[in-house]
Amino acid sequence: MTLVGVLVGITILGVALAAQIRLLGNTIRRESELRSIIIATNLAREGIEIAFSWRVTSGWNYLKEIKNHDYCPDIVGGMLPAPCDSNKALYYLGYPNESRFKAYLYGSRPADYGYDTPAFWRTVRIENCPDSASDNECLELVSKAGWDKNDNSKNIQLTKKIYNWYVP
Amino acid sequence: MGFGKCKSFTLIELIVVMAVMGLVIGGLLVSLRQIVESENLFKKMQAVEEESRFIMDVFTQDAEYSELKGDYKAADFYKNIAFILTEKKSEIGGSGTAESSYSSSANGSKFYLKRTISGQSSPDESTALTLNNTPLASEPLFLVKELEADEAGNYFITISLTFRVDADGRNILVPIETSVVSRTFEL
Repeated sequence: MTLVGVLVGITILGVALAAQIRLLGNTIRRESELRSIIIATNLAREGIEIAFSWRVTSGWNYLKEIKNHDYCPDIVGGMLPAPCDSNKALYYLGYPNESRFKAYLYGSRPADYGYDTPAFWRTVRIENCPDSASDNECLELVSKAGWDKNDNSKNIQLTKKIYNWYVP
Repeated sequence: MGFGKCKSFTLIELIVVMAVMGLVIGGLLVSLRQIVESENLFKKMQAVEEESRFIMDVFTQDAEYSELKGDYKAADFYKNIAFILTEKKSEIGGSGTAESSYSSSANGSKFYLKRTISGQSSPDESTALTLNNTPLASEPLFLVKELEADEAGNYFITISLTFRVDADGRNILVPIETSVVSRTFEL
């Protein structure tokens, strides 16, 4: 066996090592994605509840008026169907300096205090139910929360159909 | 064939080969160790996922379909919250017989969410269940807002938890927030 032969053998081993490192990278990335999935799923669920509250406070006809547009509401800003800015970001407010408690909340505007990391984005939308001809009977709440970039590649989408019980 | 004709490594070559080999094996072992650590972290994250799903499901059930206890009806932040496990508000007039309350217990800087079911007539007879094994980094937070213009008096209730996952000495915070509209009177 020559030195060249040994070096060739080590090179082959190196290729095998590279595969191990790639596996490591995938595992770490997958862990990070799992964390984001957990957070985004609950933010999307909250988006559904916010849209549901519009129906409770403003009624069915209001939902029909505002349908087919993306909105970026948050619970810090009063849950209103606020228009989205360009990145639709949700800022993790960390410590919004609430008088008594440390409040970990997400808001659609950067905080004046604490850290604000625009890691997540969320849109809430009201659409016609796909299997219903009239928006008098059924509407679909669509909440989408994502992370990394607002490019739809990494997001969770939840939908909920609501029905107008008072339709004649 | 004598030993004199046999070609073998020189000492320098042997050292070079051993050094390169050592680097490769060392790198491999470091990688393997990190893979094992990552796998552990991944399992911890899955535990957070399962626990948060369980907490949110049970909290959603209570907050959606039970009556928010009077002490918590002001629009405010709370460290604990309670619901009266009665029927829907359409059956108002009958008082609830049991109460579901959420509070936390602390172990140093680790916090654990606890759900207690107690009978209103005999509050001493209660059962408590700790809902998370992965500790929280801070006390759970509940935000209550009354939905205005709602004759049924429904509330928008937010639960905010921050899990603290230990990753080989460094802490990873997983802040989870979700909300529920109480549906004591479903439209």
